[in-house]
Amino acid sequence: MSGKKKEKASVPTTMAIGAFAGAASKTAVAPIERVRLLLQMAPSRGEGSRSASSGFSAVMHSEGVLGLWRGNGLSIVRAMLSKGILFSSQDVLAGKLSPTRARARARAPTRTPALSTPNPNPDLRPYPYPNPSPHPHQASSAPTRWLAAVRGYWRAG
Amino acid sequence: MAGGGAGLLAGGLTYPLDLLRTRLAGTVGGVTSVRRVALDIVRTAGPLALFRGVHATIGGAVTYESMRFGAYGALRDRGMADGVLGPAMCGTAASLLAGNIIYPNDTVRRRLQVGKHARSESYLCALRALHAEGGMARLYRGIVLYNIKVAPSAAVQFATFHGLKRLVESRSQS
Repeated sequence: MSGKKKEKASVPTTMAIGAFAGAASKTAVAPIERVRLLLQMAPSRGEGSRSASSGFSAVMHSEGVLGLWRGNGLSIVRAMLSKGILFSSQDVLAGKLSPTRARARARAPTRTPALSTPNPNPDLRPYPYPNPSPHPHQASSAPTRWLAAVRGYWRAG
Repeated sequence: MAGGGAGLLAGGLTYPLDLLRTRLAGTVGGVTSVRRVALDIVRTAGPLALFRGVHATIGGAVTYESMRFGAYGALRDRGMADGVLGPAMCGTAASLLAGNIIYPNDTVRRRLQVGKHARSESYLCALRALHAEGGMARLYRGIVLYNIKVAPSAAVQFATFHGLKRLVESRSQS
């Protein structure tokens, strides 16, 4: 499967770009998020900042400028971890739920069409040894096409 | 289905980090060490307390993403996501729409995360308490900042992604 290898080569690059973009955008809006969090948590009466300007000056006053970025490291780490888990587990789960991979295998020249349909007479099988594909039953069907459509949609978005 | 399962797994496993961030950044002054905050929570309420409010967060994320992608798909089907700026603008519009609808959930989940109130306060109780405190305005507090945030956030994301991609492409060609 040389075609698949070519696709995989760009994955680390794409991941690095995504990680950098995510960290940059989170860092850019971190002060807004910090103040927004303070507003959301403040009770309607008593202590706390209920307006953006008072929240902003409260942080500046007691923590300094860098205080506006407090918690940003955690949200960056979380975003990266969760994206990593998301993509790796998606691959594993999708592999179990019959994705495009099975279709690619069905198109591969090593497979003969006879293998995808149940053979009434096992002695007449084209290969005397076990089926080369581990998931022969996943080669077609509507769910596969549906999943492929969803994946394409996800990537396009 | 795989996407949904993966989303649940990713959101659930990393949830403690979100809770710690809320605890750390939700007050002015106070403890600044992540480790101390985490140890405090585990010591006083057990490790499961790190997952308090996880249902509100994941439920909100699932609803938000499905609304966002639904809106994005509707815009794209009308041919509004073509060209260079199209996807970014449609993405921002869809995010704004979904975010403004789901916003009260964000306020509720913050309240559940701090856990200052009754220990096992349910989602509905928290929603009702916040509404009783200040009506819809209480639930939507911070919405202006939220809307200010989404636009540059999406813009930076798209700009860095496309810029870096171009950089990598030109390097690999030469």
